[in-house]
Amino acid sequence: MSGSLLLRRLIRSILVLAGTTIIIFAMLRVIPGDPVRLMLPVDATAQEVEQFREQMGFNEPIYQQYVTFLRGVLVGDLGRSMRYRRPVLDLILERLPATFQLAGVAIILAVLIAVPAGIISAVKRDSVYDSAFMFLSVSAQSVPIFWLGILMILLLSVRLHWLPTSGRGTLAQLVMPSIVLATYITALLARLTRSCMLEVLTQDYVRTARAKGLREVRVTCRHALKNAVIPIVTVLGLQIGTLLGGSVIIETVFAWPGIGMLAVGAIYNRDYPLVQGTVLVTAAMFVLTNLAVDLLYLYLDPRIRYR
Amino acid sequence: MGDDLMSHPPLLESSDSPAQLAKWLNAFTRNKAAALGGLIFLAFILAAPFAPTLAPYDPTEQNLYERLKPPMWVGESKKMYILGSDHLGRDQLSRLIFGTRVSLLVGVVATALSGLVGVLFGGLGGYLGGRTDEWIMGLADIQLAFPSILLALIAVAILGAGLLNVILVFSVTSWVPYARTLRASILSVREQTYVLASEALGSRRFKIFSAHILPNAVLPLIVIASFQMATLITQEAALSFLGVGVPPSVPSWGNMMADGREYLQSAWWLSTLPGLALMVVVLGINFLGDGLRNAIDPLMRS
Repeated sequence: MSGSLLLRRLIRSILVLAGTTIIIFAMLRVIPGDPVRLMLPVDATAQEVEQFREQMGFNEPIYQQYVTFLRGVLVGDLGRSMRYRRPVLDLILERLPATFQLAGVAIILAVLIAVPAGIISAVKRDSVYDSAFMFLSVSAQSVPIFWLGILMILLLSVRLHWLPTSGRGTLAQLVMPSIVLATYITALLARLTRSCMLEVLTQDYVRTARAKGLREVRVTCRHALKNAVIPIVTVLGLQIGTLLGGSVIIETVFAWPGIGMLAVGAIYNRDYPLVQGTVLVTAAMFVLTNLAVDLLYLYLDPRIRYR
Repeated sequence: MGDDLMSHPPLLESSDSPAQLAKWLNAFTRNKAAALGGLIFLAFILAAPFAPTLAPYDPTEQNLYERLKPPMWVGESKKMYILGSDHLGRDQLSRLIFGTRVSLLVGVVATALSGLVGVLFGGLGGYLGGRTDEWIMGLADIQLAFPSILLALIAVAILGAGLLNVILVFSVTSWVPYARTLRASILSVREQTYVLASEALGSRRFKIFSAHILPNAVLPLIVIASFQMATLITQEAALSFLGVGVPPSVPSWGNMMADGREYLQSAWWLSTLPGLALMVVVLGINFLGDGLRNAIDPLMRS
C-alpha cells in the first residue's frame, strides 16, 4: 500500500519540478520586446546583439531551446552568469551554506520557543498568559520582517553598538538575521501547537492517561504532545517556502551572503541565467522538502501507511 | 424550486433573517480585538481618499532648508513637522497619509483580482472535476513552489516597476488559497440533498453553482481575502523597499522606509514610522480577519 502512495507522491513531485522548469524557462521568453536587448547594456552594437543571441541559443526554435535548457538542468549545467562570468551552479553552491545556516538556526529557534509557548498556552487556556500569547503571536505574524530588521539594527547596532549591522562570519552577525527570520514561523508554529494541543487534550486516551493517575506533565508531554507533532511537522515543512522567501528580504537587509541576496543582486543586474538558476534551485528545495515531509508523515502516522 | 427541498440551507440565505444577522454581528463585536481591527481598517480606507484634506502639507513639496527635522515631541523644531521631515525636507506625516493610497489600492484591487482568479479556477476544478481539476491543482502546486516574493521580484523586474505591474503580478500569484478553499467546499456540498435536488429539477450548472454552492463558500473566502490583503500590502511595501515596487517619486510606505534607511544614524523616524504605520494597518486587518473567522465558526457548527 505505502509503496504505491510513495510512488504517486514521487511522480507528483517530478511533475511539479518539470512545471517549474517550464515556467522559469518561459519567464525570459515572454518579456515584451526583445529579451536580448534587455539583458545587454543599452549601448550594445547590433553585432554584439546578434552574437549574444546566437550564443544564448535564441535563434533556435523554442522547443529546441527548452530541450537544451532542460538537458542542461539535468546534468547540473545551469548556464553561465553574465556578470560573474562563472557557472551559475558554482555561484549557487557557494552561497547555499549561508542560507542553510540562517534557515536552520531560525527553525531551531522557532521550535524551541514556539512548542513550549504553545503548550503552556493550551494548558492554561483563557488565562492572562493565553491572551498575551495570542496577542503577541498575531503581532509577530503581522510585523513586516524588513521593518523588524531595521528596528533591530537601529536599536542593537546604531544605538547600543552590541551587534554588527551586517555581514557573515562571526556568531554575533548571525543573531539578528536569524531572530528576524524566525519571527513569523515562531508565531505560526506557536498558534498551531496551541490549537493542536487543545484538540488532543480532549481525546479519550488523554483522559485515560489521567485516570491512570499519571502526572499532568507526563500526560501533556508524552500522551498529548506526541500526537500533536504530526501537524506541526507538516506545517514546518510547508513553511520552507516562507523561510526561503523571507531570506530573500532578510539577506538583503543584513547583507547576508546567501542565495536570496544572490537572487536579488541578479535581478538588479539583469543577470538572467543567474536569476533562472537561483529560482530553480529555490523551487527545487521547496518541492524536495515537501516530499521529505510526506515521507516523514508516513513514518510518524502509521494510519496513513495502511489506508 | 421550493425552499423546503433544502435539508441544509446555505449560510448566506439563512443569515438574511434579522435574528441570524444580529447573532453574527454580536459574535463579531464581542471580540474586542476584531472591533479594534475594524476601526483601524476603517481609518485606513478613509485616509486614502481624504488624503489631500487630512495632510497638513503637499507630500511632494521639498524644502531644503528644513531637511531631516525631528518629530515635534523630540526636539526644538518649530512645530512645523508633526512627524518630522525627510532628507528633502518633505513633511513625513503628509507622506504617510498619502502613502495609504498605494497600500489601499494594492490591497483592495490585487486582493479582488486574485480572489476572482482563485474563484474561477477553484470553481472550475471543483465542479468539473477529473482532468480539469488535476491540471488546476497541479498548477497550484507549481505556483506554491516559488516563494511569492521572489516571483513578484522577477516579474516586476521583467515587466518594469510600477503600481499597475505590482497589482497584476499579485493577482496572478496569489490565487491558490481561494481556489483550494472553494474547491474543498464544493466537494463537500456537491452531494448534499439540496444540490442534488436542484440538479434533479433540471437547474443549469451555472445556476446551481451561483445559487447554492458559491454562497456557502463566501464567508470562508472573505476570511482568506482579509489575510491575503494584509499579506499583499506587506509584500508591496517589501517590493518598494527593495526598489522594484512603485516608482520612488510616489509616496509609499515601502519607498519611505527605503529612503530612510540611509539616515538611520541621524534620523531614526524616517524608516521606523512608515513601518509602524504598515504594521498597525496589517495588524488591524489580521485582527479583523481573526474576528471574522471566529464569528463564522460557531455559526457554521450550529
